[in-house]
Amino acid sequence: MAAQPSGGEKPFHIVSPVLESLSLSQAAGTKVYMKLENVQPTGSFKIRGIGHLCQEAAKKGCRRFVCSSGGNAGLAAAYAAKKLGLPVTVVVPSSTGPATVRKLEELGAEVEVSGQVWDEANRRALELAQTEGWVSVHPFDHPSVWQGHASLVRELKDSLETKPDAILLAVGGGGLLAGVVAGLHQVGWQDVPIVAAETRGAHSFHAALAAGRLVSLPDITSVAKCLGAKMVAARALECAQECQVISQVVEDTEAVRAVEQFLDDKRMLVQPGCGAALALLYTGRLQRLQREGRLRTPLASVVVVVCGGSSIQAAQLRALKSQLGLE
Amino acid sequence: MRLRAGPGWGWQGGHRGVMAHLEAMGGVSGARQGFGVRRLPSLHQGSGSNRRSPQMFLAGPEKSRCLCPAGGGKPLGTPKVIWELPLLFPRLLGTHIPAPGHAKATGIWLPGPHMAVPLARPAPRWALSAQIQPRAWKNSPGAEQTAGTRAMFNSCPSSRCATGHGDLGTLARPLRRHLFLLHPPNSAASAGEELGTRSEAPRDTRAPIAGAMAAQPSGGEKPFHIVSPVLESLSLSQAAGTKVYMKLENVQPTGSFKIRGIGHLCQEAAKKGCRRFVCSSGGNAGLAAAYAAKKLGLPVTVVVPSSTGPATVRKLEELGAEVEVSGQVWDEANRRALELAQTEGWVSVHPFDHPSVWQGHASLVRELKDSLETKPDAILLAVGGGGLLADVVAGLHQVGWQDVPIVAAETRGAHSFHAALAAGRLVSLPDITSVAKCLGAKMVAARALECAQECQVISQVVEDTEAVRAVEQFLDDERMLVQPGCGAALALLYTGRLQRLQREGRLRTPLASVVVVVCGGSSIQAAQLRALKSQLGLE
Repeated sequence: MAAQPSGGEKPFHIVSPVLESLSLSQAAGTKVYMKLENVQPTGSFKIRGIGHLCQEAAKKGCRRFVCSSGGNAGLAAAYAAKKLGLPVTVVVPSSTGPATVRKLEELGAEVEVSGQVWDEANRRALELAQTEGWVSVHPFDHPSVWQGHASLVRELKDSLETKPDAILLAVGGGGLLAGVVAGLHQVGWQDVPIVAAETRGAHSFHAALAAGRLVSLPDITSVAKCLGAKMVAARALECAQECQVISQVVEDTEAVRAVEQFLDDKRMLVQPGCGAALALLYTGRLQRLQREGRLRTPLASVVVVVCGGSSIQAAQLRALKSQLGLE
Repeated sequence: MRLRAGPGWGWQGGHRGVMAHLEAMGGVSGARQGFGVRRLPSLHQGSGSNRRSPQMFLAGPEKSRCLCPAGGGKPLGTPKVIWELPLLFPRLLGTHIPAPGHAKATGIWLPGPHMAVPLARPAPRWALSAQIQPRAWKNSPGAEQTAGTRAMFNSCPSSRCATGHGDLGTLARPLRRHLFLLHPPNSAASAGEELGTRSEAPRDTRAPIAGAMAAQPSGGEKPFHIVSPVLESLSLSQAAGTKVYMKLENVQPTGSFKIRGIGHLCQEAAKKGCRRFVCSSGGNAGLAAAYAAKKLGLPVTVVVPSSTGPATVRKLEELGAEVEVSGQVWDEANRRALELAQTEGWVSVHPFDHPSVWQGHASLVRELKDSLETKPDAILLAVGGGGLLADVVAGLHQVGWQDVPIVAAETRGAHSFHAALAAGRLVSLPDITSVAKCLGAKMVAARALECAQECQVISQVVEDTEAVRAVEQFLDDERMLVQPGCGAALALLYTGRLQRLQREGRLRTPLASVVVVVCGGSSIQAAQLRALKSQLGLE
């Protein structure tokens, strides 16, 4: 079993299954393994890193958590706080849907609405975190979060017999990317290339790579709000220099179509952000990268991180499709 | 009471120490009263069988082979140091003490070298082992040659013990060590718990020690299924009014729990030299058989009825199976499959009515026992042919949870189990009129009916509309799409059946936690769900 870095305390995440997907393998032309992070508690991989952060903070004697995400990170923080028996305040922007607010309250969190976008909510959360004993839980930009996410790669090492030839994942704020890179270093797989997918309109990582420094997008115009960080974490940019990271941008339509096709193939509904990583397989990006010589030919196997996400429902998928003009 | 768990020959106080330990644990049930009470005067005087010549014990590897369930082990050799002298007297040291390497494999902490049990030595009448039923090991390598041996293995009398192989029995010292290490007398769980007789259900698998991963029944070969996650569901818990854990079988390869039992059956058949598999299911069982055959590298023929959709046929062909269409309904396809299975070397893979299938599925309950801290107050599942029910019951027996009630859900129009229970015997439904074709067995397996007598099984029938609504609501709550058959089990939670059963007094109030087996199923798509809803007239 994957070793726990927090000195033997039981983590809040589970060891997610690694399944070979026939349909994805056929679409991509190589063996595709899915790392199913959507079956984690709270529905996404965030519980790994945020659970780790909260456990460490609780050991140091934290009295209250403050998180500034209205999405999966907020749910993960609320879940971790509930497990630890500590109170938590989640500051959400006004664009958060009522369903998410209700889910947060069901998990026992105190919800405060502040600001229009995430950055304003984050500013308010940092203000609150100045209070003595209150700890701020950043959704992606914290070393403990990356350490927690690194458990994903350790589990991959335990499950797979051979090293994969590529790891596909979606990049929002860059927390998963940083965690995966840290994990690759830990298990000695530094040479495995990572293909980082983003949707156009939330492509902060791609823009930063192109500019060579951190840039802030003017606005998030993609429907994949879960990837909606205007500026990616600085660590993500460093990762691109440490490991081989290939940044790909997919269209919103491709991401949503991938979500629909994944629902039909695997009977699991994921958020459009996760659909971006799946779109790499469904739209033949892998083959294109192989032709361009950026990925090895032939690929023995690839791993796609199905990050999941809980803010998606069948009705929302239909609404997205009509919004994007897909049948 | 002093328990000496170290090496040494402290036999004088042995059985008395055991009895004291067992008393502290809450007493011994009547059937076990004989244990530890008999004295063995001959052991102290060295008369009787112990006076036999040592040649029998030093007979060499071909004569005295270790019957360790882990297999192998060094045969008896000449004792080199004084503390190896007890090896000459197997009765004194008891049975089988695995070597440290084996101890890890079997999970029992019993140090010491391997000791072989001599062959063809029946236990004397006065011996302690005569009190406890000895049984030969089915899995041991030399089992067929040592069929006459009275292996000195007995089960731990504690009903909490999950050790499948009981290497404890004849003498007190190994038993005391086992009890001392694995069932401490001051643990809260043992207070007041009676040591009942263990169930005599055939167990050729190794149940795990607490905390270990679920053991593999096929002698160490990697099974085809994965250890599925157990997640607490907030939405289901709110709907049901109690803590609800989901056992997610829909994330298995091929999308349903069938790969457990059918994978186990196929692995066993392949070991016996099968050349081809024949399966008669157009649904999840056929997919599981095709997947298992592909993993084993053997060909498989799947006989499907003509009512099977082209998508399923395509999936089967993608997995490398040969698909033959025969008959209108499953029973006719099954008849054709049994015809084909008459061929030499071809093995028929029945979707649910086979003991190996039940044994394989029983791993589900072992995993539950590893994951959950407390015993659930009920297990909810759907019944089609009764395979899942049979093996959940087998698993409950193995882990000692026989008193956990099972709520078995079916849809009206595929309620063969409910009809059989009502009639008191197996009945065959005239036709399957439910939309849940995955539950569509006109007659449930006979074993399922027996299960209803062994354990507490509450049969519930839900409407098609309730099942499909539950599928839709589960998709919104947990973002996973399951077949309507699985929706039947979920409908129990969404439509308040649990609370109704509590009011009727058939389930305990309050329920601490329940487990619902999300069996999954791969023959469902979003478009099909919409079609089902319109077919049933739901919005």
